[in-house]
Amino acid sequence: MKFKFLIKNGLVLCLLLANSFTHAQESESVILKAMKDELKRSMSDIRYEGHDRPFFISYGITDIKTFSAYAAFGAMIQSGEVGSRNKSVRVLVGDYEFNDESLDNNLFSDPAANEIQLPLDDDYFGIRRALWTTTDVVYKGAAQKYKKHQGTLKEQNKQLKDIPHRTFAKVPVFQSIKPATPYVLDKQKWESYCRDVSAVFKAYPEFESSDVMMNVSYGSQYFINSEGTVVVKPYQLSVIQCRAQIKTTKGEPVFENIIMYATTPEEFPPLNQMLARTKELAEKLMYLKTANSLDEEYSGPVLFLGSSVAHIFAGPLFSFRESLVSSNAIVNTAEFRPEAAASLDARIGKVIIDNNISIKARPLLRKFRDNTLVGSYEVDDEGVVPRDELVLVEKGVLKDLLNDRSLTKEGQTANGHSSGPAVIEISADKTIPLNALKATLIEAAKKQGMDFAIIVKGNASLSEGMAEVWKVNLETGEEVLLRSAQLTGVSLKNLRRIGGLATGQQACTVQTGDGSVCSFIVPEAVLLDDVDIRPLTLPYLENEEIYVQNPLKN
Amino acid sequence: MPSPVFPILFQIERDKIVAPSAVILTGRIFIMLVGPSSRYYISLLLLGIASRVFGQDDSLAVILESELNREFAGLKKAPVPAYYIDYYVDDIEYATLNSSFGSLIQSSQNKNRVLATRVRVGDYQFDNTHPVSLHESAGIPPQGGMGPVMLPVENNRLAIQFGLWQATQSEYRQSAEAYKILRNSLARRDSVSPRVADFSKEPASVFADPAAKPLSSFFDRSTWEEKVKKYSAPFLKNPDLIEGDVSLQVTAERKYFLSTEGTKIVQNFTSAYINISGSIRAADGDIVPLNLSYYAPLPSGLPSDEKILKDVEDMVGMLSQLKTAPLADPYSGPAILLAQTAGVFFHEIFGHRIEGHRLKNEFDGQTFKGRLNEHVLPKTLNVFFDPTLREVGGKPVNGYYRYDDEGVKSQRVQVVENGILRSFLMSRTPLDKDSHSNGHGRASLGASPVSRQSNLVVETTKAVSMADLRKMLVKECRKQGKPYGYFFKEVVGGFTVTDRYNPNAFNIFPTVVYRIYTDGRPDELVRGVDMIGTPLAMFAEIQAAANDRDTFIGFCGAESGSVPVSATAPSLFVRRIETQKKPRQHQETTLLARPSSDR
Repeated sequence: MKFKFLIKNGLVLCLLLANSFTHAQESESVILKAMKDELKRSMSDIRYEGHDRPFFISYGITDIKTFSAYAAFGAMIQSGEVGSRNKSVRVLVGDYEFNDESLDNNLFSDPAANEIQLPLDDDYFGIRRALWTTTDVVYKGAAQKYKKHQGTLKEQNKQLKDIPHRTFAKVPVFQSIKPATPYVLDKQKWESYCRDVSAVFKAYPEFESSDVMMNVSYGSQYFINSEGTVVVKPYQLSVIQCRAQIKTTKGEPVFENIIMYATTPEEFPPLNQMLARTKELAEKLMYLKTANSLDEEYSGPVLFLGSSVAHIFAGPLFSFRESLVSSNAIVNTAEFRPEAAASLDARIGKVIIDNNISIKARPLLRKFRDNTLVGSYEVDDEGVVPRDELVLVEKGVLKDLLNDRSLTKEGQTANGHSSGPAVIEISADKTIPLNALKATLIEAAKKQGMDFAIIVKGNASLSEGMAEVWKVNLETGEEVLLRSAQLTGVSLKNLRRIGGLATGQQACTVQTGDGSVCSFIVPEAVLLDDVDIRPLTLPYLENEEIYVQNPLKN
Repeated sequence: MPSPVFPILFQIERDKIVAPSAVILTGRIFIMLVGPSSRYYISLLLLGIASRVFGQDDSLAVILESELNREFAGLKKAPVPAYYIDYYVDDIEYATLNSSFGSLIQSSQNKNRVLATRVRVGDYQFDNTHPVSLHESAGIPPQGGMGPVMLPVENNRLAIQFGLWQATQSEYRQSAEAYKILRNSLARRDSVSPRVADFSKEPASVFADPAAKPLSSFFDRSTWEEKVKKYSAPFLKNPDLIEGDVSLQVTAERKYFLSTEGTKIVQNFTSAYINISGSIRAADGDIVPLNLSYYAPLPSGLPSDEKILKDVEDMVGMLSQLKTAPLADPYSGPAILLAQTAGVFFHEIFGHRIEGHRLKNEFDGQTFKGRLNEHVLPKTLNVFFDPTLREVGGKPVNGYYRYDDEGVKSQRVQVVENGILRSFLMSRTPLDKDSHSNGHGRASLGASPVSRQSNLVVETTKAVSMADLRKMLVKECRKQGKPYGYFFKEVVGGFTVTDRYNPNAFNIFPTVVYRIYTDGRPDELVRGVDMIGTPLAMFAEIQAAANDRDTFIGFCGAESGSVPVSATAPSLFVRRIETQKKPRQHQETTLLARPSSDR
């Protein structure tokens, strides 16, 4: 996200503003008209004495409602809905090749004292005023910075091509107006759903805590720029999280959760299935109360199953240091840790992972079998249409990276990924059936002289390094669930030699390191040859006396 | 007070009174760090207590009482037994509307139920709250356990019970741990049993308001959305204004306070605050703000649209004048404080120094310790605090409550009589073996109550007219050889420091200030002035009070959180005050004109 200014109206739970959808079409036209008129005025009239005028301005507005429900033990703790409108304003001074963003890594402006928030209602002049104040401060900052950059270039007495710099890509103009179709959220239904799911834990008085949280956001996103691009698209994202915690007999905390993403809550499992999954989670926690933990650090082959496969790819492929998203940072010796900007750009054309694996971005793919791919989008936040398929890695060789319009390296192109990875498909040339993969795991463990092997299964906490770990008996193949353990240092290196991938595929949505929601299509299982897993140690109080019985036990 | 830690970016203040508008206007969040049990908080309108026998239909009260009894039965038998537990639950429904230059920018409404519990272990004489010196305080866990806990908004017995149980256990563990450390510390000092108790014994109170009416019964959100838009629309008339905001906050609260001493109180509170903030860019780029605020227990009690719109128009006019007003230089000399400014002045320089618990705190400056029955103010002044008042001079005041946050019945406290100090504001933290609470134990939800101000009223037995007050000022200016004195007309808030590790100073934030010239020139509006000083020196400088009276409505922040307070006073003539320059905020003029329908 490179917008130079982003203001969020505070999200505060509230009840639904009445009359929100009946005039959806009308309201969108007011927002769009205000954006267009203010952008036109800014481009034609804005002048800052002694400075260059802007060559590019873009405005974005996200107009959404967010419903949140939070329940525990069958009771609603808080529930409400709030409407919010956020804006982003980008102003560029200079030209596509050299501009105010070219030599600086700080691309954000601080809000000024005259900042005005976007109105919640369709107030044409109110919307323009909100864009006007932000345009003013962002433009002034950009104009000053551009002047400074010009000075820097002159002082260094160098050609632009001789110093690392950021360019702004030219892209085709795109116009698409597809506002959100009216969506009426049945709040009572989803409150009741959360209540019912949270009530499962009433049967588990040994749990320290448990709750269910649901967030549903829906509305429209608007984007226009001075090149003529106009985009209006729907925004929908729903999340449900079900959490519980128990203490072992020693007092160590053990926790489990279920986290699911969807576009609308109607895509969440039917209540009876969700109740069953929650009960399963609860039973698993009960088992973990007395389960063994990993005795010592394990370093060897690990088989990943279920959603853990998506996590084990998402981590190394979209980490801070190594990412399939191109880094926009300019190498600047004046900044702390300039090497952090290295990313994978320098490794294009080189082998980065096992040569059995290929990776594609498929941002337009909306469904995989019956699963909605929540990360999918048709056009990114800069109004750039991504390709249907973009090969990122082919047979282990890095071919391309995901880019927005800010380009910092030779050969980069804007490929419509300013909104994140969207949908990533990981496939293999050679696969084997799932049960054969387990046999391969056992074989590999024996070969490495291990006493046992490890299988990591679906666990949403994997993004935080905690894994659901199963110990596999090398003779019988028996699997025993251990308490959560910690995966350490999983990086691209771990993907260099892959022991095998399962034939079947699955879809899973996760949050990547930068916070964007991304859908993955991955094999049902993957065997990594060399993974470090160590016992998870968390602070705890030993032998805490309880003088009053938990009321759930009465 | 320990050596203060000053986190960068956060202003740390001992205590503060601010008009609600001040927070909104400046966008600053005041975070306070005070005392050995330092506690950070962001203030909102969360707090409370209440009172009569519970109706069977109030199932929350029944659940609270039942769980309180069950917890106490268990914890009083623990190896480190609890001797007191209270539950304090704020069942609050609230709405917040904000508009800017005629546009609605926020509209939200919600309902929460928040629990705070206190568990005391030991006994009344010596418990886990026993005051210690700075070096002894290391390792003592703060009170508050899990902090404020969200309870279900529905009366689901089991779910509420679980929340109560978990919070009580957590609070007990911290209290017991603190008690053990304190006991050991006392043993090391080889002390005898402390002379003054840690917690005073007070009679149990029982009171319950009837069932509270929901917010929707007295607040129509869509009507008020239109009103707040209308109130901020006049700011569009002046293109030089850079801020023109209106905020409305409406709450309906039912506050439960139950203790193991038998106190059972349920009180209903409602409030409606409007805060209006406008700022203009002065010719030199400085930002000059003004504020207006209104309070009423119900939205229907707020001023009419006509009155508010007229006030906003006046504010816009005053901002236009401030645009070209000269910046004032630091000054020392005579001044008149118009009634509201005088109220804030008294709240800061005097009010915080008669909060009783401070006199027991060895970190505090203890300005008035040992000075009971001595002259501390001019003989013509009387000062009292009265939380039983709903109005002062026909104006609603927000420091009203029947029972304080420790379940003690509120009462009027005459602190100064003819200039003589007669009493302190007391919570259940006694100052000597005979002292008791006088119903001023207050806190925002989750903080431990300490003695705090309520409705402050300053009266004079020798009032003069404003005209005479002005003559006195001119005369004193001439005597001091000053060409002018200051007239502080409007104020947005202030703060003071009472501990002994920092200068005991106060700072008042006036917004409308005039120079009154001795040579008969018209009064001159100036900008950029803050009033500063040290309290003891200031008491001696109060020379006269006028026959007028006005009330400042605000929120006071200190170690027990933010509490609603009012300050009523007559206008004052002060022989010598000091001013300093306000911090400057610079704003460039916009490059394009503000979009509006008249362009």
